[in-house]
Amino acid sequence: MLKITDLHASIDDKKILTGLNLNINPGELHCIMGPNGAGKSTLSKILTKHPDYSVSSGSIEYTLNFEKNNLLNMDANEISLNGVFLAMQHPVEIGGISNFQFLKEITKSHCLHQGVAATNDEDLKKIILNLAEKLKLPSDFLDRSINDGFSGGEKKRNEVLQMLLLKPNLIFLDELDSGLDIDGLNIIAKSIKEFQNSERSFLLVTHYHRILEKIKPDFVHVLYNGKFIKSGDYSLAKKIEDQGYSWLI
Amino acid sequence: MVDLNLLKDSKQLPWKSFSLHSSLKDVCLKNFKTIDKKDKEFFKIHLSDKCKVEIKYNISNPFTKPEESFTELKKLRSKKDFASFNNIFDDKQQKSELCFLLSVKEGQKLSHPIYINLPATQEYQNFKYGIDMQKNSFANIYETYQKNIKKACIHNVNSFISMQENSCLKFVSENSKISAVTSTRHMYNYLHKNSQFYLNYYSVENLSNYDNAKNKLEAQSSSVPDSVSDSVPEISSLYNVHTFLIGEAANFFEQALILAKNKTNRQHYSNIYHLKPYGQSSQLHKTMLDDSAKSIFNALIFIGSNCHKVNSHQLNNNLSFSKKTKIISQPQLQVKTDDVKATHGSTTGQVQAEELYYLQSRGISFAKSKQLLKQAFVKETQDNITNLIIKKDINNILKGYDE
Repeated sequence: MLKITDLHASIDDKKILTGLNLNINPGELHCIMGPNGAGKSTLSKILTKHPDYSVSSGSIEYTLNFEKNNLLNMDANEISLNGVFLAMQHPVEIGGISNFQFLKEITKSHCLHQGVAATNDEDLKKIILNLAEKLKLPSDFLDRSINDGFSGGEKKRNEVLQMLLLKPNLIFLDELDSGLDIDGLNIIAKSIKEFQNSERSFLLVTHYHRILEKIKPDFVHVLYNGKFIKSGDYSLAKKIEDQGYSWLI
Repeated sequence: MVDLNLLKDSKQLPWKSFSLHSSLKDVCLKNFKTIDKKDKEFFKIHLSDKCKVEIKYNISNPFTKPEESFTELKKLRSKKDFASFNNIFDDKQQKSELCFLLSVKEGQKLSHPIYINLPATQEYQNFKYGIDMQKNSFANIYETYQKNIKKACIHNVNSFISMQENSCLKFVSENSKISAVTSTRHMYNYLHKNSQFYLNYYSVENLSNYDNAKNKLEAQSSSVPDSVSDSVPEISSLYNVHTFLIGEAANFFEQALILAKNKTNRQHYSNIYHLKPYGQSSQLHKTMLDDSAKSIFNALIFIGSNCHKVNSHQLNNNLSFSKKTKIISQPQLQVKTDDVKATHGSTTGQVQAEELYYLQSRGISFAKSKQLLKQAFVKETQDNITNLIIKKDINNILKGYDE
């Protein structure tokens, strides 16, 4: 589904990724770990065309319905419309646009892209409120501005709500577990587990083992100095939890 | 009237482009005398009861036919109907200066908005009108301009608003429908005890034929009256408001929005003078510029001596969508007493790249994301407007900005 080959990227002339390779097949859940500043968040932002980052070489091939696309040649909105979703570590607050208006716009854009009629307001509201209830988000969040005044946990749950609403195929979860209390973590982990299927792939960035206990990854990669220095299965995450990164770097 | 001694400490920062911006002395002496002297020449529009408008023309003016006429107020609910009411200005023998006085009688609370449609029917159109909000009265007024000639023109509006004790006025002025016009709007407001004045100003112009208009105005400028000729050709719109809180606990809330594209120029001056204690005021001026538009914001909040417990806030937010825009902001605060709350601030910048990215990362196109962020920026300037009819009109105009 996703094939990253020899990816080199930078921000303000500072090299962040230095020859990264990764292959994710449908239905797989990959986890990226690594010390601070290793380039974990950068990778997910590059994959979704954040304007601050520039790619100097390499390719990002994304396959959907047997059609191959180069994510580097697509705009951020096109990447989303083609089924790629990033749940951000620090979602921005945007005053003046209500959550409902925002969710309505994103649903409309995706429906238009897929050539299907957009859900009417009333039905959409019901769908969103059902998801909100599942994620324990207060019902008044629809009238509030996007992430405006939300707690850290509410912001993360709002990200997951958008993921459940848009039903993407390839999902990047950037430190979704940071800022979450134990109840919030359980709710989100449960939602992700229910959302997993044989066609859907995940790339999870985290510092902590606790979320991996709930969502078992198929592969764990350690990112350091802009490239993967070690890959393995779930046991690698456990070892890092016990011993840190010093034995690797 | 304003006791000028109360204003003796007030100082406005000098400004190079102040050609049209009257000094305090001019405002208080010249214009006040003008309104007093010319009172006899005003049309008087008395809102005599809930369902009727009484229009009295108490001058022997060549373009006033009836001595007195009645129009049902319900007809004024749509702009179309009020446009016909303003047909009196279309008389062949009209003068360049059109005056009327609208007075809302004591205790009257008008639930439906009054539309004042100011037509531009000739190259130099001057309006002067007064609004007299008598004690305990309430009204929603929507002022809009209509251009009835194809030529470029200068449209100059002066109004004098008196807010008597406990009166409340929600006033919206909107000049989005006129293009190829140099528009100047002067407003002098006098607020008595416990009165509340909500002022919303919208200038959403798109002068696609501005260059054409500018050339015509330059050619015509030799015959323009002195007070207006200074504005030609640099200014395409000027907003100049002086508000005097002359009664205790008077309240003034101002929200203004300028949306300008192309090669246009906006000048925005608004001075608030707190001359009695316990007053409240707020100024929120937002400007959104694209292409090579320019804007100037110059505003002053003056809190005089012995005006304790005054609560006043001033904020200017500017948003630029092009590297060619020019924005000058000069918020000013003068406080002559203790025990007051007063803040002021100004921000100027571009659309936040992070916000754009967030919306795009969810599938919204760049253009739509930009539009949503623009809408978010302007939304705050509609807080004062509670009348749904007016709110709808304003929303339609703001939507049109992006089309």
